[in-house]
Amino acid sequence: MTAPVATAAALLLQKVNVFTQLQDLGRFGAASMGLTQGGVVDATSARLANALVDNEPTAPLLEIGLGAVQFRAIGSVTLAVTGAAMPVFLNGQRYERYQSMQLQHGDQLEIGYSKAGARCYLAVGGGFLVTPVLGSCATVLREGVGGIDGQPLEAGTALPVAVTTRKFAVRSVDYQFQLKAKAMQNIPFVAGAQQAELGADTLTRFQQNVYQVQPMSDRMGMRLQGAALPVASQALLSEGICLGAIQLPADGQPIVMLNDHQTIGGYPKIGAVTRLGVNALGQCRPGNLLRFVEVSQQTAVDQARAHELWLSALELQIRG
Amino acid sequence: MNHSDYPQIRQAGENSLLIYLAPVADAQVLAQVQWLSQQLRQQLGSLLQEIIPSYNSVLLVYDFLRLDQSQLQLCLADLLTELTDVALNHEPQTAQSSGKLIELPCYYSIETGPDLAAIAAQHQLSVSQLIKIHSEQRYQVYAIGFAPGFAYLGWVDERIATARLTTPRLKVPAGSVAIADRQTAVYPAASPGGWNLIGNCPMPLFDLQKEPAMTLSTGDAVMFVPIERAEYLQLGGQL
Repeated sequence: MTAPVATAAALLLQKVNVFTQLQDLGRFGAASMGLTQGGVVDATSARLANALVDNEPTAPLLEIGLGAVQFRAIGSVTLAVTGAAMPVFLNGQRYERYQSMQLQHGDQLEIGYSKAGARCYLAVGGGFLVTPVLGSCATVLREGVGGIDGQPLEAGTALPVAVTTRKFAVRSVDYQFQLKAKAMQNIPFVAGAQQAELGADTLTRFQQNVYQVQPMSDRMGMRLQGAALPVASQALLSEGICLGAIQLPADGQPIVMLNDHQTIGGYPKIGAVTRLGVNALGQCRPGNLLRFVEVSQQTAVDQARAHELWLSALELQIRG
Repeated sequence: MNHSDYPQIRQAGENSLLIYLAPVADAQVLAQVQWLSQQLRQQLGSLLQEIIPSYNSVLLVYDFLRLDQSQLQLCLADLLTELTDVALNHEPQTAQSSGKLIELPCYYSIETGPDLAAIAAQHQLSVSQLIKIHSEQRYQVYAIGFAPGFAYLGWVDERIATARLTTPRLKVPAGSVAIADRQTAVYPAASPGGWNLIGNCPMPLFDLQKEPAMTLSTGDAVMFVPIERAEYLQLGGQL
């Protein structure tokens, strides 16, 4: 448990589930010890939540999957919610996402089930006060690392909010820049790794298929169902796996490695979804449909750099 | 499987490359994997986001907002030229990577290794012969993964190589020493697992409170030292 430090405020968890986790941008440099990167799946929405409460992009915040959670403010708390279209209620009154709000002591915040999208992000001004593990607060339940002692959050826990001297200001994100989750998405990926062994035909058919997100998906991997792809039988020595890697197990149904993916593995891989593609996957729910579109490595870099410029300009503008 | 086709650099993701040093994994290749990983850590510094050495490959993930892949390729080309010299300095017959040698105490017994007797019987060995074969071998850490601190050790003597269990156990106790095919390992924490259990190592291998958190690194050598029940308990072993 975090050592008691003088805090201005806290957020009391009244109703939570395992899909509500303390996260940040992830844990890097520990994969050679077998620790996965963790971190927010939809980094764009998470960064906007932190910008709305004037935090650094790296500040710990809550990633809320599913919804149906409830909080109470202890002391006064500045807060913002971004991402999936989950209805937000402040003391029973509907409150819009993508704007900062000031909660007074005793105020109650309720977040309902998502209407579109899979994850919303809740940031508090100053950030949650969590002790980092190997440089990150990201919770990885499978490893028992990060967050609060690596354990699922429990109702009754008060998450301390770091002291901040900043005054509350109304900040918002224009509607056009808010997340609009779609039931059908085109997901960019870079071909790679065992592409040659799998054959050009596999790569073509992978892009022709329409995939449906399966209920078994989690932060470790997104399981997909489409017309089965041919799998070259080959024994592969286990090798490092990167975020977004598209594994093709023997049943020919791809699994995309998300933030809590294992660090090494021996399944052949078609390639890897780009970081922007992973952002989009982070908002896909079971039943949603996907199509994969190959981009060159250079195109992926260009798109990522353009996105970074856009996002950092937007963050600046939000902070005002 | 032609050695002359190596090393190979392949795209793994938009900001990640897989470098294959050979089609197979042996001590010589491991020395190259270890050397290349160290060089990349030193040369790329904070531009390197992640590096995962494993068997015959190195996965590197870099900060592509700050580093162009063309520059990275140049750096890699230089390193891979030098790699040939690393290989020449490691004759396959005597090859030992430059990692440290770590001796791990192991209490081989039915109470800590529920598959011990079955494996011995399967290979027509006595339990003590099996223990002797397992503990006289010098293993190397070929990869770390599956779970924090889980080190894949190779290679187990062919006489005791054993296929994984058909049905994995839901819970393998922390410290369990196990065999799967020609690999052996210590489970650092309790977890599900399908490897054959032959004993238990009471020495913690992964502890985030310690610096470094992990006792073993890829490239280190490991030998198991058989210990008696009393010593096992004295070292904090659980039954």
